[in-house]
Amino acid sequence: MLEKTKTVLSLQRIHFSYRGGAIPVLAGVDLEVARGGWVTLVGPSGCGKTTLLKVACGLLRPARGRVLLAGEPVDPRGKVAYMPQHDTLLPWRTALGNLLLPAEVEGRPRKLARREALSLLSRFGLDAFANSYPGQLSGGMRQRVALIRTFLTEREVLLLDEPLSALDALTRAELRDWLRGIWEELGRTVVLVTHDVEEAVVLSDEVCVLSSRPARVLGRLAIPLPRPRDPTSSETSRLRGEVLACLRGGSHD
Amino acid sequence: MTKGWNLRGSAISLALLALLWEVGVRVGGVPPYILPAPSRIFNTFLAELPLLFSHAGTTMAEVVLGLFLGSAGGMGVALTLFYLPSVGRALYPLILGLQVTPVFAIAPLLVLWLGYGIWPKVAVAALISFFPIAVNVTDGLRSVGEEMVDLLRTLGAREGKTFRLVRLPASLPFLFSGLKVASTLSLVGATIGEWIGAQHGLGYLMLHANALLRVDLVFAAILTLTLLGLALFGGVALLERRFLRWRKEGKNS
Ligand SMILES: Nc1ncnc2c1ncn2[C@@H]1O[C@H](COP(=O)(O)OP(=O)(O)OP(=O)(O)O)[C@@H](O)[C@H]1O
Ligand SMILES: [Mg+2]
Repeated sequence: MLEKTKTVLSLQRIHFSYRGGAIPVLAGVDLEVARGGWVTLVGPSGCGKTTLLKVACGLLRPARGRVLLAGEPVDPRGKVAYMPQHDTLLPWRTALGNLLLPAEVEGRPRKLARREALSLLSRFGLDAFANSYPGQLSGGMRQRVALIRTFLTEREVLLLDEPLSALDALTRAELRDWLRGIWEELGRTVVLVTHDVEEAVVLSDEVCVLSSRPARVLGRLAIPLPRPRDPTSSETSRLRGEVLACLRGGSHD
Repeated sequence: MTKGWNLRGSAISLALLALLWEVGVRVGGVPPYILPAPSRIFNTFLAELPLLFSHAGTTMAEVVLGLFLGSAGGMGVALTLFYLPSVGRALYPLILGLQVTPVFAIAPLLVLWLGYGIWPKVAVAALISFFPIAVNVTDGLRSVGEEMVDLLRTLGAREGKTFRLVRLPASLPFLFSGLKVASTLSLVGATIGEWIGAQHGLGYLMLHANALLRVDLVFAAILTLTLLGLALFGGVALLERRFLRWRKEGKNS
């Protein structure tokens, strides 16, 4: 199926426990993500999804197992973009100022970064908010800004930890389409964590189902449907059912 | 902050109080060397303006220098507590001990050691302003969430950059809260330092005038001190408004 060279991020047999934690969190998790692809992780609350993302971006070092980027075993710290689960916009910076953060940390020229940020803001419908502070923005707008900031990191792989979960249903559906649009246009590799099975099926190439803690991979489901996908179509409902069945199967044992 | 005050109400109640005082003194025939009428105090204030101004200059210099040194020391201690917790834990009882010892009890010693010039008063003002700054800035440094630091790390930032881009700006509101408390306290500290031994300054002027039974001049000096305190507080509040514009604007929506 996938050629070896097309795999951009690969996690092999990852084991992890927090210091002092009696039960391990990750018990041999494997993950392969193709360049330009979209893999979504679903799993019960507290199973270790955030922990897995933190291992993938080098914030946590696995006890066993390897992280490979483009086939090379490396320390992924600083090489993979990560959007934390909770709001991490700097409240003292405007939306535009927040978008300049990655360039500032990396020491890229400010003028160029500014131009790039402004063009993304207007391309994705946020130019009216460039000079607003996060405190003045709605939850949905804040997440849009944080997502654009993640795309501005110039990393190939983006790890998104439940970016839409804190939003109301209407905003969430709206942002789901918006996020698919920005991904299709900017073309990056995405690993998304979500609790929402419909979101997983509508957005991704593959859904990876994790067991409850300690996390193992219960199953992978390819979603071979053309985008944009209708969340109410019979095909998506069938796949949703399969993901749910896989999740339930894991909680029996 | 000042917007919350009812300026007209304050002015009216102040005027009423002055009127009551004026009438009480005149009708009761209280001699001016016990309690001068407000009109008399105000006349003295105007007549002795150059004298008051010159003494206020000395007191203000002591306060500003003390505030500056106290803030520098307080921030240094906060940084130590944050970055070198083991050193901090060793120092903490010492700092706390220094704080619970009334600075005014040490003031005579300071005069003994540092002479009759401005330095013992600067020292009192510094010692008294140091604690609120240290406590507030420590809280400020600790206010930065784990996820924010994680984000900076995945962008490739080391602690130096994280400090400059996140911890320092996050501490600013806390620093200003500390400065507001410290600025008023240090004025009290400098005045009391001047009571203990001085050749110049508003505290010295008060003692001197008291000895000459010039109670009107004592009150004029108190009035000057009040105005100084208000100016200091106002100055800090103004700086705060200038630096923390995002807080105000953030709440508008
Ligand atoms: N710093 C830590 N120290 C010890 N245990 C932790 C730590 N962080 C998380 N855990 C535990 O590890 C497990 C996995 O946590 P993690 O945050 O990865 O789960 P999650 O799948 O992202 O959960 P959620 O769906 O709630 O976001 C949980 O049981 C949690 O209590
Ligand atoms: Mg999580």
